[in-house]
Amino acid sequence: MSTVTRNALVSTETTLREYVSTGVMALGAVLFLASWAVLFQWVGESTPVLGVAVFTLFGVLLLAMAVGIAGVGVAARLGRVSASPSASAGLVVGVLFGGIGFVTGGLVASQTLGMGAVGWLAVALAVGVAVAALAVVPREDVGSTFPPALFLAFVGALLVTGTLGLGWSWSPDGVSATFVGSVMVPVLTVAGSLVGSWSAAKARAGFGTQGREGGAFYLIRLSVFGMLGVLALLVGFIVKNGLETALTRAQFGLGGHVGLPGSILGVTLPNWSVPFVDVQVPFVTNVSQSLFVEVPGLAPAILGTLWLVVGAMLFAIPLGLAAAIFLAEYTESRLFRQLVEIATNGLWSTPSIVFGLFGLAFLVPRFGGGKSLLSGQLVLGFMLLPLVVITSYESIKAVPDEYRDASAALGVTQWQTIKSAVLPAAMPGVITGVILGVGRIAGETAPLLLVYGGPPFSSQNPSVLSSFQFTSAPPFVSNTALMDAGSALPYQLYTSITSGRLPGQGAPFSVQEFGWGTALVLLVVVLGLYAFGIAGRIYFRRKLYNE
Amino acid sequence: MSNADTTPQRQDAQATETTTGETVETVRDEWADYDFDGEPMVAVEDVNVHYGDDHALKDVSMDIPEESVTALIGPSGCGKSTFLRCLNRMNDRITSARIDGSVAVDGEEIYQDGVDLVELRKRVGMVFQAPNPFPKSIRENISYGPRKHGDIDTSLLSRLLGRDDTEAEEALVEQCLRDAALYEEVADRLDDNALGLSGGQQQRLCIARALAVDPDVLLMDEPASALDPIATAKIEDLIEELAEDYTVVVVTHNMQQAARISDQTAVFLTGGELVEYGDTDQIFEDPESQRVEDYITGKFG
Amino acid sequence: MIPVPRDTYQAALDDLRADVVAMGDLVLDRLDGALAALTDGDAAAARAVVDGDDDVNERYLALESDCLDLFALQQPVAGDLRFVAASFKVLTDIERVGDLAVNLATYALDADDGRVSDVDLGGIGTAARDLFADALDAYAEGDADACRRLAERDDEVDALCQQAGERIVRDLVEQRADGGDPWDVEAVLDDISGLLLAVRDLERVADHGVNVAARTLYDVESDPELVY
Repeated sequence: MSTVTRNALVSTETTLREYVSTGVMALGAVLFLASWAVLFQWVGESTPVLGVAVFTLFGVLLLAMAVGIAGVGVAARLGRVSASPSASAGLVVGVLFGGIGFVTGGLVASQTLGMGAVGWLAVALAVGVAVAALAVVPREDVGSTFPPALFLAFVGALLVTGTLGLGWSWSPDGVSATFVGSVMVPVLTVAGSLVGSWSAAKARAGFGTQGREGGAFYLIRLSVFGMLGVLALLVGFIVKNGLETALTRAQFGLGGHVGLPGSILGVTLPNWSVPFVDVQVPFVTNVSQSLFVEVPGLAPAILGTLWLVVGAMLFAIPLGLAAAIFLAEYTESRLFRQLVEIATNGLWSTPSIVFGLFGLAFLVPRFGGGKSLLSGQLVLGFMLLPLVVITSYESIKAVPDEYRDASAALGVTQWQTIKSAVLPAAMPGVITGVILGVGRIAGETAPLLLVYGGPPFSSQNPSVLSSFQFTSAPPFVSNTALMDAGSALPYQLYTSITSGRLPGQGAPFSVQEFGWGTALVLLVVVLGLYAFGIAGRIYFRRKLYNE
Repeated sequence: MSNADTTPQRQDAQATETTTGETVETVRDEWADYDFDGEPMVAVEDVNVHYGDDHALKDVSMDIPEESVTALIGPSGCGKSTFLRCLNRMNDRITSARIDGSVAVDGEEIYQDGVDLVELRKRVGMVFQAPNPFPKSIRENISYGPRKHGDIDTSLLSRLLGRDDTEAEEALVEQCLRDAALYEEVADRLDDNALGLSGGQQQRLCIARALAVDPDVLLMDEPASALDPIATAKIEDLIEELAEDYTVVVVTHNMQQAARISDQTAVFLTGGELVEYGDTDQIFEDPESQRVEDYITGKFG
Repeated sequence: MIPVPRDTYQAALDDLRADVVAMGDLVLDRLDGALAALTDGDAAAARAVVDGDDDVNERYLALESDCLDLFALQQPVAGDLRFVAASFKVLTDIERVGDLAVNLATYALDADDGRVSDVDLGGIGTAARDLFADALDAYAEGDADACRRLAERDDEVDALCQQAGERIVRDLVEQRADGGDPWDVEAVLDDISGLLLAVRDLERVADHGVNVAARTLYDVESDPELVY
């Protein structure tokens, strides 16, 4: 077959290529992290490192990377190291480096050399086309190493010679921003290290199709680490700022008890207790405002969030599951299914404030005109409902038809088939949907502002269980706690920021610190709910698949 | 035919010219008549099945004797699985299917008003091509049918009332597994998930599950086609044993299998028509129809 | 033309038929040689028949192996099954006829000219040979009617053989009764037994022909009426 090229089956000398490329990638990683450190001011830009100014060090490392990449390219082209390059580096590489060349050339021409519009455009085009040609025309091992090496060498030289450094600034005409050296240098370094590492990743895998794979995997890994990094950053930020506040006056000992609550549903419970560790975290257990409390706590907000979530789940899960079962098992009409799909997608995308408005206009007047826990639960339930419907529908559909056929062939009715064969198999998917939904609604603030949020710093815990009372008139059961306004964690965060100061005197921390502590507790509560849900899913999966 | 000059043609084949000039065999009705002693367990008369515009089964009539193995063979798409699904009204689950004709199980017509589908499918059980045990334990798989029908009740209430069926359930599970030749292999792990069994074991579990509701007829749609040769051999042995107590109808595309296990064989050919039906040794040594001969010797299909 | 499925298998079946027919022709040649030796005293022909027996046996083994291969590897059913089973049996009959030809040739070599009886071996031989040849043709063509007619001709051959046997004995007795020179008992015994055996072998040739026809009838019409 003449269209198939045969490369060497066993490559001879590759280790040198791999070592040098890996070295370049390592340098790139170091530069990447260091640039972000400088941007975040974790390392001051004028701090000397190894006796050299930071930016100069960047420049040196960039130059080293450039040499490394170019070296690998030359060695591959001359056949000193074996690789399997394609005939050309490809259009993407060409456009990328052509673009970089264009921009660089244009900037240098217009700013440094002071050429007029026509002048710098011509220079930019020339440079761009030249670099693109360098990338595309020669064989891939040259085309994908020389352009990045040139760019890195250029930036490195600028940094080493100090042309681009701390004192540099640029205010272009027509743009009101000023680009400062202390920001631009790390940014350019980040860009350079990315481009260089990507090219080095391709070189490491030997160019050609494997090289593209190496480059792609490098970019994917980078994205993953980037994502994890952002996540770690956020969580770390919250924890760092909120942990101290949350553990104010906390005590951990061994002399405690745990017992039953005083009463449930109006029935007083006996006073049993068991010895337990003594954990006291006043920030979590105190009310937010009280004469008897020195450390303003979050108990009302925590309990409020939990009750909201529970109430919303009690509303949304049965309804959502029933709707999903109907859609998946009982309707024949495709039109109806499409209608419902559109409706639920629309509901799921509706901003939460709209749900809040609906609650305010429809629910609040019907529940006595004031904000209430029940309204909050219902509004959050409305928000949770579409997600439960969608994910349950997909999970039920995903249950293989074989189970339904087997069940029907045994003479089992459709409902029993659903109950005993289909739903248990769909459970993991349903739970995933609920977890996702709960994660969203636990953090919703806007609707709570309208239908539930009470005083900014609450002085009582919502006591739903002990407020059930029997009445002589229908509906025979009433619960005042459900009808009270209250607090929830995201709401508490909002009110603490807007009110600007903590209630009372003598709180051991400022209102900002209180806010950070609230954020941390919210994170913990949401993670706790997730853990609960995941445990449930693992339980069902184990039952289904014996894993 | 390419070998017409070297191979003698069958001398009693009927030939008819069609409008296109091809010679086509006319099917004689007596080829599908099969005489045996006793009443048929399943009596099928003039069944036609349409899926929308597609005429999948044409005027099929056959009587299936009890406590024996009847094999249905034919090329792909000839309607044998459709026919099988008519016998327990599983075709009802397909919305575009229209079934005309009469099917009587143990003397009672099943395509009439007032038929209890639950009871029908208890009496006429089905095993599918790919093993499909529920993602539950082995014990739960087998007791699934009786539980859903209310024949086994091990709930708290029944225990309180003293009507607990746990022992009956255990006995049923063991009996069905023995009947399906699976008990020895799984006796020590009845609570393990059924999906952990091998393919052949899963299929035997599905057979045990079908037996748990005490059927009279067992329908099997290519029960061994997804299995390796040893598992297939075990299923074939099992089928022969089951035929001593149940009426077994097996659809298979493997003609050697049909020849090995069945007492009588029905041959369906493309277009959904039943061409010939008779004793297995007669079909495989001297069939009446030329088309059947051509099919089983591999000259077409 | 649409290619027929299993064309290797079809070709193998066709080859089997052709090979069986070819072996039959070979054996007919041998038979003709033996008859020529008997009637015309062609010693060279007789020797050729005797020497050629190995060839016939080798072919027999090869074709028998071909039949077994077809059974094991292709699992023939219905008409193909009957054909291969019939061919398997027909081969045996053909090989036996080859052995009978060798017997006849051997007798022709051993006999000298002073025969006790001038029974017409040639006539019987031709009748038997023709019957066998026609049976092979019926096999090659799959002609069921010819098979049935052959069965009747066997009766004629049997009658001829019976008459020949009686004739031989009568000739012997008449010679004895005529008086004349005392016999050489040994030579006469050899002569007589050889003649009788030759007659019996010719009758057997015809019987094998009928067997071939019987198997062919079973192959074509699934009718075992000629198989006793």
